Amino acid sequence: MSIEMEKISPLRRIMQLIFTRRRTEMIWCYIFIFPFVLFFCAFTIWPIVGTVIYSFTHVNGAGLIDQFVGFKNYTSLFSDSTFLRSVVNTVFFTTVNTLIKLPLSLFLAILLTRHWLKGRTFFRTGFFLPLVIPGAIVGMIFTFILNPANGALNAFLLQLNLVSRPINFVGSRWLGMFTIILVSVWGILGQYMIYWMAALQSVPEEVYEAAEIDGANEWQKLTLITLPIIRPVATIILFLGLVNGLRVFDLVLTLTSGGPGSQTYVVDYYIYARAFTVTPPNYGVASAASLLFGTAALIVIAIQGYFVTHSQRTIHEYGS
Amino acid sequence: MTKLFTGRFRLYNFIAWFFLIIVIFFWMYPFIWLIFASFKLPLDLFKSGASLLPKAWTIENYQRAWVQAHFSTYFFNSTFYSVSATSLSVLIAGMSGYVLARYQFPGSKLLYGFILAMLFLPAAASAVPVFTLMKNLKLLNTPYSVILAMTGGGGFTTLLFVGYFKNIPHDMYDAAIVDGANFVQQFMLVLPLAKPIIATTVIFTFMSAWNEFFMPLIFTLSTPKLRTLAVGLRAFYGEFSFDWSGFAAATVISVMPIILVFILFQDYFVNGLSGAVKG
Repeated sequence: MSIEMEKISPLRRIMQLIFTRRRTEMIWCYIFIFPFVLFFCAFTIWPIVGTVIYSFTHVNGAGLIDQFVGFKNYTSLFSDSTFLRSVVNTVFFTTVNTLIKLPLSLFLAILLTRHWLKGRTFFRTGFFLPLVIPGAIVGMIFTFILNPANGALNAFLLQLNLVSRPINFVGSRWLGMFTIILVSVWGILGQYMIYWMAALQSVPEEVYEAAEIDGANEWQKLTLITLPIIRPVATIILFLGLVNGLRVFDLVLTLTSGGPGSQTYVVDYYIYARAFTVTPPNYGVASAASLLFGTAALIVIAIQGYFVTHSQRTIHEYGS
Repeated sequence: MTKLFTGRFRLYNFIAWFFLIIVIFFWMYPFIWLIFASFKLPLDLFKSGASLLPKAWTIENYQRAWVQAHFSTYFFNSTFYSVSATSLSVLIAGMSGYVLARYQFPGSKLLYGFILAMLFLPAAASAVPVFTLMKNLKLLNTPYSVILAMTGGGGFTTLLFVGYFKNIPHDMYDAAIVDGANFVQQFMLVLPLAKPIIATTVIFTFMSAWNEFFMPLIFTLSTPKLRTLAVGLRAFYGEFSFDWSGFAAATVISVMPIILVFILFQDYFVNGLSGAVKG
């Protein structure tokens, strides 16, 4: 009897050990994953689910759902000229901002990665610096510099007799939009320079050496080697640029507050204004706006994704 | 190498310098102007326009901003929120990335798929649901709401950690198990190995938390003492719109520390950011 026990027990002991260790491991896994699940649900899943739910309902001031209203929030959006103007402004901002910041940052990235340029680190640091300043603070700094009463830029223009009286850079819709666009470029350009520099570094040095032996000049190396090789990365950078542009908010709030009137509203500002600056807040319409625009952004990403895979396939086919 | 700075290349260098020095001056002008403005007397600043040097130097602006306008508090808040959110972020993503990379348990594949799927959804202007969530949890006007929102969903950082932990050789764990290390000890053993990912996560989270304006703005509307630097600056602008030099000093207080940090750790910043396109 006792001999039999001793024969079985080591095996059972091991089985037990494995089984319980596996179970303790499992419990630990859930303990480790729990905080993430909590945050993921609260700040990734819930915002999306909540936006969908709110967009079809009327939400009262306490943040609780009153009643289901169908597409009423959406129809009121489309009859709201301020919303339509916000969409146009956002698309305008994104397009022009991207058209300026991408080529400009590419140019500077190429220039600041040339081996013959001395003091590269100094210039790079200079261009990167605005990056660490919060967008809202960038907006406020420029509010002062662009101020029509006695701001630095107007004083400068007046001294040079370039203008006869001070310009109000945020005084009208398109001038205001251009101001926001240019200030945004100042704030964000460094980030795109970093992206381009990373792309430029991915080009193998040997390719250039081979080209030099074949007698290629700097311009030929750039247009025939560098640009074609970094094209797949360029699509990613373009995508980052567009998505970043669609979410413009801080600068609008601090530079123009959407004004004059609601002339320089962008979509995120519209959402903010409807949800947080009026009493009672209109969460329904704000959510409908963000859902609509989020979907539109998703479509942009999908198209972009198609081009990324497409260009990667092209690279693959031709080999690189 | 010697060839580089002779002839053609030397000419290129000087042409580029000519162009770059002019551009960089105007590029840095807002900073330079701001720093000088913060040392000017209020009336001097009001009349000085684009000129830089103060007629008389003063540091009263800084005293006003730091004490009366509460920028000492705002500075503490911004730092506290960003550091808390960053630590939370690293801890949460490190833990979840670790178990997702090493273990399979009921629901792990589903969760992984969810994280991937959500990466491709643009974070819809998520302010309203997050705001109502905080409101219902009674966390509005507390530091917690700001820190939690700054920490965010963490899907992207978790994936970074998953990728890294997957590449850690199994022998490492086996050795630890033989030594009798328990679950937590094994985790503590490999976490320091993920240093590059930790650095990336720290930079990403810290930068976005430090730059976050919207959440602190709407979460601390009725509690001025919880404001961040940017929110405080905006309030300052509204309350003391006549005090330009005080505003300039407050702005310098708000941006200079992070600029110094940036200059010191520039390489980490650049590497962290280029991670987005290197993929």
